[in-house]
Amino acid sequence: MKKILLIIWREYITRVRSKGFILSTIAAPLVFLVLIVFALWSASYVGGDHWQLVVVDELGVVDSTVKTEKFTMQPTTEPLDTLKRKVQRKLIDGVLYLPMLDTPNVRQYTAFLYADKDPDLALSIELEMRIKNWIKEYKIQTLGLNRQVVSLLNTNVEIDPEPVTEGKKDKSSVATTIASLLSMALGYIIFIVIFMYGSMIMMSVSEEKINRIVEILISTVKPFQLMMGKIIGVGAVGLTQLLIWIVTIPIILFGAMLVLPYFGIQLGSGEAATFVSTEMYEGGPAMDNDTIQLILQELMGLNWWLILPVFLFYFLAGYFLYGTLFAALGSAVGQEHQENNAFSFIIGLPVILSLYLAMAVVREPHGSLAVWSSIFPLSAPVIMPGRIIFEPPLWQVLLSMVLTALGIVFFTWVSARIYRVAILMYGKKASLKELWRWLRTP
Amino acid sequence: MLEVNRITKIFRGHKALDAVSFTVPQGTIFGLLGPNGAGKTTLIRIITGIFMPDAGDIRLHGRPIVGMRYHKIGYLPEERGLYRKMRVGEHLMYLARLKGLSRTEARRNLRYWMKRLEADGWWNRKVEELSKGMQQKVQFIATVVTEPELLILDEPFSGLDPVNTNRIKEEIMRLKERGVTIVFSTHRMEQVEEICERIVLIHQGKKILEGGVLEVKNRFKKHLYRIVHGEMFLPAEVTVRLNVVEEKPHEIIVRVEGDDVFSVLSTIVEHRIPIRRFEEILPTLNEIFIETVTQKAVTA
Repeated sequence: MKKILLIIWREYITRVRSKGFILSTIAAPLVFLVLIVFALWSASYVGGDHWQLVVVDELGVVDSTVKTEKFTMQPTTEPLDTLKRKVQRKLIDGVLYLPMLDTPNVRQYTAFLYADKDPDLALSIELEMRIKNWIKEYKIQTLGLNRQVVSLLNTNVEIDPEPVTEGKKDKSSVATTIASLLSMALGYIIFIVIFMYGSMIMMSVSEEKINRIVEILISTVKPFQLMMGKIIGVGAVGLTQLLIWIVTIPIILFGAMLVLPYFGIQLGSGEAATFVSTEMYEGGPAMDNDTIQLILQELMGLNWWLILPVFLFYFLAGYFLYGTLFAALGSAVGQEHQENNAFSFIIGLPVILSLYLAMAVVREPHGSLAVWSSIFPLSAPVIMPGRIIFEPPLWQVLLSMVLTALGIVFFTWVSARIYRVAILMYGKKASLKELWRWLRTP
Repeated sequence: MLEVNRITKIFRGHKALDAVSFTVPQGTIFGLLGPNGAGKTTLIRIITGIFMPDAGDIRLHGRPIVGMRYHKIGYLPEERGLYRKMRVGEHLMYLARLKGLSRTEARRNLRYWMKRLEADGWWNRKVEELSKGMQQKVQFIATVVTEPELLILDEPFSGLDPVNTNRIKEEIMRLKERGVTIVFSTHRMEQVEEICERIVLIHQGKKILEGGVLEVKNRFKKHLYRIVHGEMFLPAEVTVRLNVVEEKPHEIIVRVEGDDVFSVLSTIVEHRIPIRRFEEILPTLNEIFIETVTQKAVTA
């Protein structure tokens, strides 16, 4: 026991002190922040390419100059030919021609943009949205419709689940969306943890094999102690990193929210969303305070006393289940890193597939796919934490936990058997046949 | 005293070791010899407890140690390395404490050994900053820091310059005098001749030779003697009376059946030939090694 503690300690302290750890722990939240800022910035980015347009409006719907970030458009009465020549002489960038409608009963309308440069997607989308609204306006007028009545045709629909049995909690309409997003997020976190720390274990094991210290260690401690010490040590490093991030990421995000508006970037409100929704999409409400209130309320209403322990269980279970496999892998392969990658892909495959399954689970949290994939030990760590939000039957949760625990015992046994033989095999390629033989060696 | 008793190890139907037995008396340096793939590493791994034998047992001072990873064994493997990113002191502390030393014991012993091997300034240096020879010294310190009863050294001098080779050799001799039993494995036969008192030769998993170094040499001797004399060549009436194997100016090598050196000497003295030197030619361990191993290969 004392030996295993020493191994854990060495694994932990040398890693936590390394430049790599310090850098990645600091860098990760910053990279995270940069990604968010970049995503927001690129979504709200409007190119410097500003179009000077004139519109020949036979419908009579454009009555004044329209100015947006993308274009300036002036109504005109000049003949089209004159305008085309102006385009040729580069006095303007283009002419938008809105031909007359014969009848308001059309469902297809084509407008023409006379220009020598190609309109980009942003311009096309924006023009199409505007023309669509103008046509609507035109139809309202020519058909003599009541504008207020027409606006009543647009209805936002939501489904509010209501419990039938008394005492069951009433949920709001956003509950499902929130649960789904949270479910995906939990599965994704475990997916990342398995891969990131799994490959750390693998490298750590193969490092000892490559630098040949392993024979000295193995003459002092049992291979199993060495392997478990390593896995637990790396796991402790992972938890440390996670704790640091749990503290730093919110601080950084909060700080960013305070500072970034001075640079013209809004976090949270979503400039892109407001841009699209305000006048162009009708009835698409930007997130208002009520909605935020509702989301917070729903989040608070979730059964965290169940979700958190279950998440922690599968967080550790997923780590250990795959960690032992990655350790065996690290012991079996030598210096050929290409081989390492190929093998780690094989081990990683069930995790990747689980992540795809997680999406199906979100769609149908009580479907048979969701039930079985949350019970099967190789996929349970990614699936069950997400599924627990949808409150699956208790027997499924317990069965999944028991099977996952058994899975850990089984894979630890398998890995330990491969590890103890493979770690001392130099210059021998680890074929699947060879692995199978090592497994059967008493 | 280390007793290896009928150790057998089978890998996939192949006998890596076949009932190998030998005894290493306490306080001797014992050569464990054999060509590549003979089973030396397997045997060492069984003694250190890394492998379990399929049959046989091993005792150190009468105590069975099979599969024990006995902490009073110091093992310097041929394939050895260190964590490159760790500091020397911390690294040595780790290895010493894994062997069961307390923090204070470990630190005290390490200070002693680092001073002895002129490594006292290295405590805070990173392993990767040390030269290969320096790293070898660190590994040697890690092996002896626990004051082992049995020391197993596999090619301990590889990568060391002549000066450091001598330093380590001195330490090995000193440990031997203090009663440490030492198993020394190498392919460098001149080193074996120099420091080993007894040897065992393993080939294809079997013991094919065991004994004291001088005794083994005598067993393999070809009864050859070298006579260095004052004449350019010996007269024919002398050489006909000798079994000449080779003749050179001032030197003749003869085979003396039954080691009857007196008749040889009297023949030469009779003819009043001045003798500068007269010596028995014993085979080197290298010759014995090659001879036995190739012979076995032919018979096999």
